Amino acid sequence: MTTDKLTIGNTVLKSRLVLGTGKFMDTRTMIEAIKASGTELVTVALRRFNLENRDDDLFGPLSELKNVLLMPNTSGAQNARDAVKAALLGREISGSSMVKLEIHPNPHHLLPDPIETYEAAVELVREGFDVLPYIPPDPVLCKRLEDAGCAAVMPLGSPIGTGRGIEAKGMLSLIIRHSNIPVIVDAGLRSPSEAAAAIEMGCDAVLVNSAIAVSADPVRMARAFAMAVEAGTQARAAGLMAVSENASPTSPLTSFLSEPE
Amino acid sequence: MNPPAYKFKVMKILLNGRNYEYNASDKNTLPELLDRLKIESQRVAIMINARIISRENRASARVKEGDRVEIVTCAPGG
Repeated sequence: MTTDKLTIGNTVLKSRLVLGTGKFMDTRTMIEAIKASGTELVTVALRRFNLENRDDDLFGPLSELKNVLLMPNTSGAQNARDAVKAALLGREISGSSMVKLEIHPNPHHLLPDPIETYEAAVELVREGFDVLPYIPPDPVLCKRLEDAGCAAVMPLGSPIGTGRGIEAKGMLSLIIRHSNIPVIVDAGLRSPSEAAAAIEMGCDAVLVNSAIAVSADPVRMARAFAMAVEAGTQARAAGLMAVSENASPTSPLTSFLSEPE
Repeated sequence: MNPPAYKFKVMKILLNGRNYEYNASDKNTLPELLDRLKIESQRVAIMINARIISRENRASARVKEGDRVEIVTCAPGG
């Protein structure tokens, strides 16, 4: 993190908060939460056009938002082949080359399949996409995906929708240390303080969905995450103090109090 | 005497997994189907028989009897 702006492939963003659009109680709340978050990038899924309910798709409401890019995901894909097809379909709708590559065949834990993800990433880079793969927090896999030409890596904090925060902090630290492309924590964050901590430790951005969408007040929670990400960014730029084994006084250790009377 | 040339015919396709019938012209283009469905072309992605029809190829794409047409749009997702 060397500049104030975040560059992902061909896209430059001012906000380091990416929002998912799932699980909101209604579209209006989702739109207001997106506005409150200050995000410039939101993820969307794909589904069949609903001929019975034409207002059912998100394209209309989201196109109201200025300066917000759509990043289609490949959810539903169980293998590399399906993910590539989903990405190509998504690009037709979004008109953007960004894709959130996600392949998680097991509905119980929704953990990414690293092998299918890698194969799909290679193919999508060849197709000209800015690929953002959702992956386990594995430093070796991250490096392989970087070498394959991905625009960013998106290691999970904890499984989607669990709100367990960043469970493998040590692994994430290694990813950050060795990555030359943006690192975006995706999934598992529950509280704004966790988002701030992720940015402070060197993540370039965070992707948040459930924590905002299922809050009792999603718009306020979106604002809280925006403030936390901003706090983390400022703290990181300012530089955190070193951790020390020994205490170091902040007040003078004056001797006059213990002087005999 | 030759029979009259019919301008329209009934087309049966599989649209988003369901049977769908409509009166098609003899040109039978994809834009004609989208018009009939009142779908704005720029907000959807389209596959015919599992092949993606890109935006630039839509105007010339044709729909044939029995084709599997998928029209996809964006939905909430993280």
